[in-house]
Amino acid sequence: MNKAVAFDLLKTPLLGRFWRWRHARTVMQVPLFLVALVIVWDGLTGSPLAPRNLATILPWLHYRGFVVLALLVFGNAFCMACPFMLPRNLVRRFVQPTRHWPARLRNKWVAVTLFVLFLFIYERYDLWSTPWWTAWLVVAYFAAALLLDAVFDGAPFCKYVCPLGQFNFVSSLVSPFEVRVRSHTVCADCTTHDCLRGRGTQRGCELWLFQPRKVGNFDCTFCLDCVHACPHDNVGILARVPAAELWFGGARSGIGRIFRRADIAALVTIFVFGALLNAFGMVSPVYVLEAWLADVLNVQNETPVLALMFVVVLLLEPLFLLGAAAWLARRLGNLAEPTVRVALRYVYALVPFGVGMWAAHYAFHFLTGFWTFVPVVQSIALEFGLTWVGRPRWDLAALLPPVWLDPLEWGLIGLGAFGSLLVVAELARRDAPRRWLWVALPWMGLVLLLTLVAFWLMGQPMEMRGTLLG
Amino acid sequence: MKQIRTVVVKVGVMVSAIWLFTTLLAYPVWAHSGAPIVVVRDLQLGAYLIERLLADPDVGGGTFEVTMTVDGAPPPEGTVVRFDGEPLDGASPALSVEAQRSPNDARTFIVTLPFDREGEWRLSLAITGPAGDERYEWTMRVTPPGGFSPVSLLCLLPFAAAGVLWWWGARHMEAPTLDT
Repeated sequence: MNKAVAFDLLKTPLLGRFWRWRHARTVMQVPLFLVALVIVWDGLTGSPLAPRNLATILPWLHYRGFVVLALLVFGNAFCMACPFMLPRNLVRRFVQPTRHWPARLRNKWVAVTLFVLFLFIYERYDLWSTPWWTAWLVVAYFAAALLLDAVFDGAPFCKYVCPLGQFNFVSSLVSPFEVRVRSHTVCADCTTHDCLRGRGTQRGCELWLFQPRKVGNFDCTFCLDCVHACPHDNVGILARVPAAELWFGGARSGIGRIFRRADIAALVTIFVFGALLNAFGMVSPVYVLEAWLADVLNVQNETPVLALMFVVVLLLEPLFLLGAAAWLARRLGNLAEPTVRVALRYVYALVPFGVGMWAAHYAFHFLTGFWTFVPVVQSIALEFGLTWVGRPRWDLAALLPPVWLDPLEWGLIGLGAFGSLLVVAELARRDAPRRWLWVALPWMGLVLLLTLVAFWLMGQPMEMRGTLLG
Repeated sequence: MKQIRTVVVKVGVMVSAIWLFTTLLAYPVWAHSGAPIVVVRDLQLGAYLIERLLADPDVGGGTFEVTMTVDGAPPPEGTVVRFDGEPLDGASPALSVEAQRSPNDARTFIVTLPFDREGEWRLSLAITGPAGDERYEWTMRVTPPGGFSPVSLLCLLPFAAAGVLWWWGARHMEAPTLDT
């Protein structure tokens, strides 16, 4: 997309050579698959206490931390090494599905619903503190990926269903690297289109992203099938300006025009406001609010209280805030198009802020609980009679000195907000070159408002998952 | 211009990589950052329901706040809440301070424990009163007091640098197009 930037990770000596190897993805998937097996095993048979079980520590502390760090410095690394695809790929060697994913479902609405459901179940049943349910969630993930991709061709699970994948797709919009063609001139002379169709036993893109027309990271799993399929060695992992694709309004292969896709806009909205809601679910004031709502609704069960909070934060609040900002921008900038179209375009500007918020939240858990796997592994080893590992060091927890943590959170949120302001400015410059500041003003106000909320949230008393000594 | 951009991107990637590498090499330390943390919530302790127990265990003045009810009502008059603390290595004298009921919320008791140094401390919450006598113990790391410091500023520098680089890149990049 950014023609001037040409730094290509696939041309670096070690990483590049590894990734150009056809079995690189499998090599990355196998360790994660083994980790998934350990998670399921310990979750179903190990300690029910969250800080003492790998099923809660590894996914909710380490996986999420590594995912956001990788998204910030590289790209969609988890999808690249996704363990759920390993058994699916094995089955695909014997079963070639012939059915097509239903046309009606070729959008993100199923994924949006599952993403909301995932966030809801996470809060309602405290998944982070439940090894047993976490283990079953992993099992369900493997089963769903296997089943859907055994019945339907392509990769419908990744493209239309997987909530984790959608999270990664949206986050990777601000990643500094992108899988894209090195030279469009080479593609212009290509007649075989192997990057999409595949070549021999090598698959083409199963998410139907045609490289010469592909823009940005959305829907890209970094599987590198296109890299291996291209007979001209014309696909690389190239550096780019993060988030620049957010002000590209043209058509994208396999996606269309994102500014006209209400389903993707809804996904982005859930991603951004879900970041605040998910963080709110771990701070002290949520208990006060829940108790108050339970009193008002006169209920004892948490489900209706939580459902009401979800409706307000993920539906009513975005409708009001995005609607108001779009209406104001339209009025102040004399934009001709309807308010909805303005909102559909500018909601993408909030993505960097959302990524910053998720990163600050996950980095907090990751950095405060990084070493917790050591005593748990020691404990398991002792159960198997491996006494040489020593007594479990339950006192181990954080990776960084405490004084580093707050500034890191502020920095991540602040940098995300800065990125959002950049995108707002770029979009406004394109919409109204002479009155761009007037168009940008309401959206900048919204970004600042959300940023203040984020700072307030991160300053609240919060649960230290997996780090209390008990 | 093209070469300058490439150099800027390379420098950006390098700075990010160094920062990440430094982060990964950081030595192991123990839990707790500036904000108070939730020790327990919704814990039934005899007749008392501990709705939440917050801790901000900083050297100099660790604050603890417990919110609890008895059958949905604030604990009855005469309920005494006491917090005790003792370092695991026994190198400092044990602390014992009675918590005061909050004037704003009859369910909440607040106390400050004057920890004299960092380290692992065994802490306990003791409740005595008409609804019964109960005790809850836990261990946590007493940490340096939070707040803004030169180190904080240092931690923010990479983000500021990344912001400048981002802005520069966005301003100087060519407009995103598909040039097929």
